Amino acid sequence: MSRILLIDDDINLLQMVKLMLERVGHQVETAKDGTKGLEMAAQTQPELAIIDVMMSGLSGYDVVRKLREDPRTASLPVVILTARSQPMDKEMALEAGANAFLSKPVTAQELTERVDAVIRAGVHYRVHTGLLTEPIPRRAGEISGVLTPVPPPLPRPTPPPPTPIVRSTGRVPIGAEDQAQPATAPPVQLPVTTVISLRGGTGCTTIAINLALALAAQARRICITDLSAVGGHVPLYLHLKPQHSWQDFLSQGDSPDLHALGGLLAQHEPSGVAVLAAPPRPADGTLSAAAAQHVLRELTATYNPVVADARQLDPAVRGALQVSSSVVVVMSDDPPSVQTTSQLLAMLSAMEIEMGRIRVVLNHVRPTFDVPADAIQKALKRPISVDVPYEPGQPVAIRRGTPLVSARPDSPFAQSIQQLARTVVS
Amino acid sequence: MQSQASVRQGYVAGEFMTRTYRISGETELRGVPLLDQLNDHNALFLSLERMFISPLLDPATLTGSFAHGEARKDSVGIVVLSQWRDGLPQREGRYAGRDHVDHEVLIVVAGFEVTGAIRLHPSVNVTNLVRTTPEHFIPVFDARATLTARRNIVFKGGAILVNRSHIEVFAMLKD
Repeated sequence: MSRILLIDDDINLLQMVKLMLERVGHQVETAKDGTKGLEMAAQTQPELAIIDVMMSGLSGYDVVRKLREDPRTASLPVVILTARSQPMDKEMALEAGANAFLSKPVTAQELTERVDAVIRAGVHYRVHTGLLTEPIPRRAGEISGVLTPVPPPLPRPTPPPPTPIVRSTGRVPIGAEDQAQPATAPPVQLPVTTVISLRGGTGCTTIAINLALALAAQARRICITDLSAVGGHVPLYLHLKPQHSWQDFLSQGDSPDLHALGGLLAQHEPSGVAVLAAPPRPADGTLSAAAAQHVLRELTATYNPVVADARQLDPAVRGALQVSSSVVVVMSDDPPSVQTTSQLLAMLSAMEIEMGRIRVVLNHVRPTFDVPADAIQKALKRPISVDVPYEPGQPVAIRRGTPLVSARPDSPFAQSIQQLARTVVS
Repeated sequence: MQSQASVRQGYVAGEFMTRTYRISGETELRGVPLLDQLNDHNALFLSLERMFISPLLDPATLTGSFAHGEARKDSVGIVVLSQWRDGLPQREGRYAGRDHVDHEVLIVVAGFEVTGAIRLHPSVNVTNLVRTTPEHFIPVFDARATLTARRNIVFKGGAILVNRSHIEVFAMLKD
């Protein structure tokens, strides 16, 4: 429940919108003109203001500007609701400092969804149609193409803290923790981010590597684990030539000896990111779910978070997904990718992975646009968390072994990855 | 049916464009659709409520607001409506129906280039309609109006009502 201030000189609309918001549990105060609204905003400090543009006296734009000028109300998120619904009106509203723009007529669902999204996103973000969110540029004219996630609609129960693991030995018998819990208890979540795409060519590995480097830039110790069973490319992208891979564990079943785990990791010196490589050729087998979880558990003792690059849904990846605190689903904007992503989300749901853990990343791997983001969101029935713009310098970055997030941190691509990094660790 | 926060019940909101101004306002319907009110030859003016005025070349800036006002209908070049249904006359069958077909048109009118679809029964010739209908305003659906003098100023609507007496050029985009 949030306290919302509604400013409109149309009494009928005031009552209608108030009713819509109170029905979903918000507490609504109303003001009949801009001057009264400014006073109330300063006095009552609401969590959101909904303002009509066309009011006698102060217009809605004037009210938003004055709210932003007053230190007491500068951080108040604002939704503009108006019958003037042309693109230039939206631009004007956002330039004045509003966080979202709604045109009349608006349905109760559209209104409450947008209100909730703006409250969650805060004053520093704009929320667009489809609940796509972007940070407000600091300077006029500096518009970022980065789309950021709207946090999940309802507060999720905090995941249980990771079960203390006896790390001194590093060799907890596989399944020991599971046996100590009831059979139905969900796996303990670890600080692992699994980046997955079941369709090739969506840039899954690129996103995973750049995400790892963006996280490493936050002074974190990061390890990237390449779970590909069909020949991993993480070392290639980083110009590494590892001598070992997780294939070394294959012969050890569910209980790999993790004594030598440190020795299996390759080190990317410029960023400090450790790499557990996949076998360079398609592997003879794959890690079991328990073994993969065991390896990840061990890695998270040193690295936080561990980024796992997954391009299939084998037992190892299933094991990783179950313990991951966040799952990044990477897709491109072509119809087969949309279809594959839709099916993957259904499979993740069937695996009882909460949707709140999942972030969908739309990666534009081509300069042309195919399926619009709005249509993708409708097809997937969930928002795109981050929209990664097309980056023509990507092939060069791969050839040079210098991911763009390091080479060109100010590029729109790198900014979108940094946004993703903030999301997965938040 | 889902509730909507809309303009007032019994009113329709529109953008009334003259050669120099963008006038946003609400018209009380009293059972008579806006198109029929505009085509009523007995009234020279149209009553508007909650009227807000902007210069056409600076269309997002509000320069005046009035609780009531009158717009001279023959000075209005186009009327932009967000919902296409708001552009229908009382006799809807004239411009809407199962058999109706869309005719893509370009109309240069009152300083705007209007593109969109005139929706008619196949038995009606669109060019003849535009040339000979006694009505002042005709609806163009799913339309956009680009201000010729400033092409970055674009108005979009489910329907744009075009004043025939201001038409400078009319052309079919597809035959």
